[in-house]
Amino acid sequence: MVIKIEGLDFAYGAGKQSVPVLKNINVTIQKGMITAIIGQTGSGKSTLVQQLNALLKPTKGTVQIGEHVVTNKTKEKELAPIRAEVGMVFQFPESQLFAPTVLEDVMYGPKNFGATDEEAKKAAKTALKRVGFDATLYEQSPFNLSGGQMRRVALAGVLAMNPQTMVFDEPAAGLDPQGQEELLNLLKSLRDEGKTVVLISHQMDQVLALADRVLVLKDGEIAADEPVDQLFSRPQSWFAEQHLDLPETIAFQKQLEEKGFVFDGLCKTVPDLAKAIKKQLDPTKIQTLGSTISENGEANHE
Amino acid sequence: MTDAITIKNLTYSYPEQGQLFDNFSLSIQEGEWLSIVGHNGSGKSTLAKLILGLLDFDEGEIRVFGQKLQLETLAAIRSQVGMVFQNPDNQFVGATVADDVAFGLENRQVPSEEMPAMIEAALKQVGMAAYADREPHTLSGGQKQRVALASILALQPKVIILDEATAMLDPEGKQAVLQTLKQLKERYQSKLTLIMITHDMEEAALADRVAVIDDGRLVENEAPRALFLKGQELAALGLALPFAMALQKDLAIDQPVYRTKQELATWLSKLKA
Ligand SMILES: Nc1ncnc2c1ncn2[C@@H]1O[C@H](COP(=O)(O)OP(=O)(O)OP(=O)(O)O)[C@@H](O)[C@H]1O
Ligand SMILES: Nc1ncnc2c1ncn2[C@@H]1O[C@H](COP(=O)(O)OP(=O)(O)OP(=O)(O)O)[C@@H](O)[C@H]1O
Ligand SMILES: [Mg+2]
Ligand SMILES: [Mg+2]
Repeated sequence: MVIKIEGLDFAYGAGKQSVPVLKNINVTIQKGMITAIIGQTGSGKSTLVQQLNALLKPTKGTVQIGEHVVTNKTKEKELAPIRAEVGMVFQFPESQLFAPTVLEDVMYGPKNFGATDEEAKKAAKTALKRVGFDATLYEQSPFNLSGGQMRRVALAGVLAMNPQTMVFDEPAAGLDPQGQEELLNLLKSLRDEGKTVVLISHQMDQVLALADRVLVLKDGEIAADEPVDQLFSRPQSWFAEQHLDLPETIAFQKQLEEKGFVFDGLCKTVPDLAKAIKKQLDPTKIQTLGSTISENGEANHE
Repeated sequence: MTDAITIKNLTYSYPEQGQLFDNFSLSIQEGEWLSIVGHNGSGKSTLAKLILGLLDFDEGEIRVFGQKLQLETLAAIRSQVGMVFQNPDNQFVGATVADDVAFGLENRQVPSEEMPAMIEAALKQVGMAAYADREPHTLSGGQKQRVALASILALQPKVIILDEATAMLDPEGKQAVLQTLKQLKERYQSKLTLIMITHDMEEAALADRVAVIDDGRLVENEAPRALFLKGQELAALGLALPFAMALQKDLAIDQPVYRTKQELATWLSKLKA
């Protein structure tokens, strides 16, 4: 299922109170890929993704979600099937939790789409396991959980519904480092299963590691829409204009380039970067300097 | 040196779950910058809520600037400690952004003629002055976090506790907040104590000391320069290394030495063929 946005404008509220947010958006979200959406705080990322499952309707223009076309005039009752096809994990997970227990919360989606109790429970447990949620907490209220635990429940809620397209709004926020690593693997495996994944993230390293394509929003407009390698090959000054950072590995690579190191292509991971650096070091210098380096990176000459 | 916060032999369990803290002790010196890290559900937010007296502990004691935390001292202690909550929505009380900042000031009986200037200064500090009249719930995630921070900064508390207060900020916003905190530390020196709960190891590394909590136990408690040399132990605790240390580990060419990104770049340029 492809999602196609054409000529979209969006404003919150109407008349004098209206706050225009998105302007002239034309993008296509390809199926079976991970599309990342990045941009400064308030640039319109969360507003944009809420058009993808018709939680918000365009003020102007159209959003085509598979066979459904959503415009300003689309009736609420026509939107229900879209919600089954496009699942969404919100920026603040609390806002989507509601059931008396964790298990019931995650079972709600499948049941709502016609699964039996038994099937829903099975789907819920599989999903909770997949996000590394502690099984001893299944009967707890989802509100009596830590921030990262709530995040996992919200993620599981969408996984259990098994929609074709899944949208994640800052899913790593609140997860511990191990949880972030697991999330990365989860999103990759969803793509491998043929799902369409949309990811909003402020963590450029995550975007670099995961995304096939990246949309950059600036003040509600698309500033870039291109494959991830092409995007991160842009100069640092361009990222500064968007008020964005380069991923750590690439920023460090650039820092070393200024000191005379040479790399062919982008180093996407820390091990890759380490390998590329090591090739350029002088073994004899490592021998003599290696173990006698003081804390500030200066050699100790005794 | 006096303690800003002393926690001694603390015991606490939520009614719904088993024992979380059992005989937990930790002190934080006046003027110190402490990071608290640990896996999800390890007890960080709970500890912060206990310090603020939002939860009642079962045994042990908590002192804030020597004053024992109990019903009679609750108000006095809360006026010295400001906390930015993990979810800003749980913190908002005002109908507008400006009201929200004003609310805390009113609670501290700031004269009303002084308030507008203080509100504006606090919102400016986080780049949100233009949003003073907006309803907090209509803000974007990062904007909410900025306002939540402004509401606490306006109060100029002696102890600031930030519970993952930068998790939703964009890279620039995060840098700006950390810069603001550094400046405040410089200005107030020992008069400002900072406790930062975070999953971001770069951020944790800015502190004087990092406390690692694992299921309610204090398992590490030392300066970042020492802590981040313990790659294996940290991985076992579900933690990561700051970028420069992770890279250095993969380079595996010398004895472990703590280096920042800058230091690592300088050192590598010396080893270049
Ligand atoms: N309900 C609303 N009413 C009016 N304005 C709103 C509403 N919701 C969001 N906005 C505004 O729309 C703009 C875009 O918000 P959005 O939440 O899409 O940003 P974002 O890119 O997701 O930012 P962040 O990274 O901080 O989450 C912001 O300036 C925000 O203040
Ligand atoms: N209101 C509550 N009622 C019952 N149990 C709770 C409540 N809040 C938290 N807990 C439990 O207490 C433990 C510690 O939670 P806490 O929120 O302190 O963790 P945390 O270290 O802040 O985690 P995170 O990094 O995910 O925010 C968790 O197992 C959690 O499920
Ligand atoms: Mg957002
Ligand atoms: Mg917490």
